[in-house]
Amino acid sequence: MRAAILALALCGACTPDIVAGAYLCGPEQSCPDGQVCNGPDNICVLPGAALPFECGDKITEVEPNNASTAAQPIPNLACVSPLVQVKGCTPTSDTEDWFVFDVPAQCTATEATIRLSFPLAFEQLSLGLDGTATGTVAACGVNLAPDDGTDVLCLEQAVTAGSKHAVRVARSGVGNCGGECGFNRYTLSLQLGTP
Amino acid sequence: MIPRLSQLVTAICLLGLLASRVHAEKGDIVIDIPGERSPENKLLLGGIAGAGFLAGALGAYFHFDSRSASDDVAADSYTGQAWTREDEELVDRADRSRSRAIIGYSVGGALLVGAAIYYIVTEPKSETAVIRPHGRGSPTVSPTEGGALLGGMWSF
Repeated sequence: MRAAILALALCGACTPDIVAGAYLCGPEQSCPDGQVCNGPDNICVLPGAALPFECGDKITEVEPNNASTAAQPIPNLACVSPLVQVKGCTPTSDTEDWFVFDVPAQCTATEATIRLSFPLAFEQLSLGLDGTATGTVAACGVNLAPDDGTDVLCLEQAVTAGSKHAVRVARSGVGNCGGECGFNRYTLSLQLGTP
Repeated sequence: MIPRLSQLVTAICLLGLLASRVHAEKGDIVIDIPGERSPENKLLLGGIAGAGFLAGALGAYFHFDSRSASDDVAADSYTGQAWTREDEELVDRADRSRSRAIIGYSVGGALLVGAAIYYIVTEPKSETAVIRPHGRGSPTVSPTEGGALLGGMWSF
């Protein structure tokens, strides 16, 4: 009996001690035992402190942009442009967002680099260009930390001068907690340059 | 003050020894012959103690494994990392190893205590032999080359 009590005392520190706010939410809002995912910042918190998902006030995406015909323009891109970012959101009621950009007519040998990053806590998003090219993790060309709380999709596509292109960001139906976390926030980055 | 079991056993042995000495008469030679453990007894004793140490060592191994897994996910401030399936597996491993460590320590401790009790309970009794010199005669001393030979006749 004494041995058992001593063993219990010795192993008292064998259970991990994780304070609230230490971890970002994992896939499908996963968190350490006793903690839940906070919607506004996807950080694991105590259940009493958790708030529902919200897009936040830094969104620069403009609705309605749920079809290619209603795509939000990304204006004023140069042949070699600075990085343009759009902060977007796909709440439960919004399955996809469209953006459109023009390649200046004077460009030669131009490539569009598009990057979509989003928290892995909520439903995964997909990235598409003109209904043909699809963003992939491999195309990002960087070693992403697997547990930094963010998924990144990239797409590099040669574009011709004077052409118009449509970018589609959509919920993929993957990792949506059985419909309980069918939403997400994202950052869409676009840059034109020479390949 | 409550005497320990080992002290009680020692006291009982001493009383037995003294009682046996009562039968010795003046001039007798009294010899204590300590009892010896049988090989089976030693083997069993060593086996129990060895199993206890082995179980305790296994408990320690799982204890350290549990601590290692636990330390890998423990956090007292913001880590900037997401909670992943790997983290959950580490927590599960820490729990599993913790249970195994408790079992190992408990079994090991019980076996060592059992070995100690068995050691005390099976302590072989010492025997007392009384040597009575024949006729209470005096010992003989015969000179030899470089010394002397002490002789006599006793019965026991």
